[in-house]
Amino acid sequence: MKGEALKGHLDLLLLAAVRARPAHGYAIIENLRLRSGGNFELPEGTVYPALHRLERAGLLRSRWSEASGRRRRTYEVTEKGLTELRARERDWRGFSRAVEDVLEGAT
Amino acid sequence: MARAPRGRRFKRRVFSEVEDHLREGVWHEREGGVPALEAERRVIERFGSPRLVARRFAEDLTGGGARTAARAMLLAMFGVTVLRFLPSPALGELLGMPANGFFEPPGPGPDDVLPPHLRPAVDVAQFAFLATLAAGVFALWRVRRHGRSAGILRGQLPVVVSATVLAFAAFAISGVADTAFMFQRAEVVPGSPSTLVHAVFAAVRALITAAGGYFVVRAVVLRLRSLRRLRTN
Repeated sequence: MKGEALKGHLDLLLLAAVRARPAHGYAIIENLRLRSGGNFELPEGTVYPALHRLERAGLLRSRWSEASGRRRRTYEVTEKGLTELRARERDWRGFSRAVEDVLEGAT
Repeated sequence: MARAPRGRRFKRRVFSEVEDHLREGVWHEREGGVPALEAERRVIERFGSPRLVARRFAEDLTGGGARTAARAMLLAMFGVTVLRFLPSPALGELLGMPANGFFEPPGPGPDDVLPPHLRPAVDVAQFAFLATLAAGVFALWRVRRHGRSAGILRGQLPVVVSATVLAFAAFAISGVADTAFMFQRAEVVPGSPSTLVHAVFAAVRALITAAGGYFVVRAVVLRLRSLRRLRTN
């Protein structure tokens, strides 16, 4: 799935990718790639504006740490982010079920 | 990344994150046996065009900038309005307090002592005040309606910029004039507690005027820069 199609679902995917454990940007992208079986392709750099936006919205929080002598920014989901993630998951599952129903009805 | 429309601290953070990302990517590629130059090429290609990333930052920040500008405008105007009309005879009557050194102290007002050729400037200042209030309310309404993707439309930007600059000038001029006359009035009742109260009001009004004007002008300048960068990208 290409970048433009992913754009509308990026927030949901990023929150889901960080839900299990805090992670830095590269790890989040790798997590998305592995869990999607390589189906999600988007310019990796475009994830950072989305992460910053989610942090400003209070859905993620971040902190600096040191790794291999470099400064690393690690993100984790907030309580508000978890609530938002659950709501968006419900919406997505309802939407995908509806789409499946329509497609089955069309065949 | 340097084109992203934010301050120095934000840019330092972005640069650090990008550097960490690229180095981490190269390290993983090298672990897989990829030669150094090829690893760097792959990682940079996967990262995407800096212009695209800067554009995404600008898109995401524009909505926030509009909200900040609108809130700063409304807060500054609300604060100045409250301070302007707080020591007024109408409020004194409402509270059942007689006109004294606090509520409308005796003495001339700015309109009474301004030279005739400067009095229209007071009308212009008041009009600019209302125009910018309207612009701020409009900007906030647009952002609420269109969400984070709403910015101030290019066609509307000159109007908002003009109104903002006028209002800022009006704030500065009227704030200084009112402060000067407020002290002059307070001197008519020497030694009264109202002198201190008026001094505090004057200082707070000057602070709100300066802070509100700073945030509004900063937001407008950042927006102009981001529009210019997006056009040249």
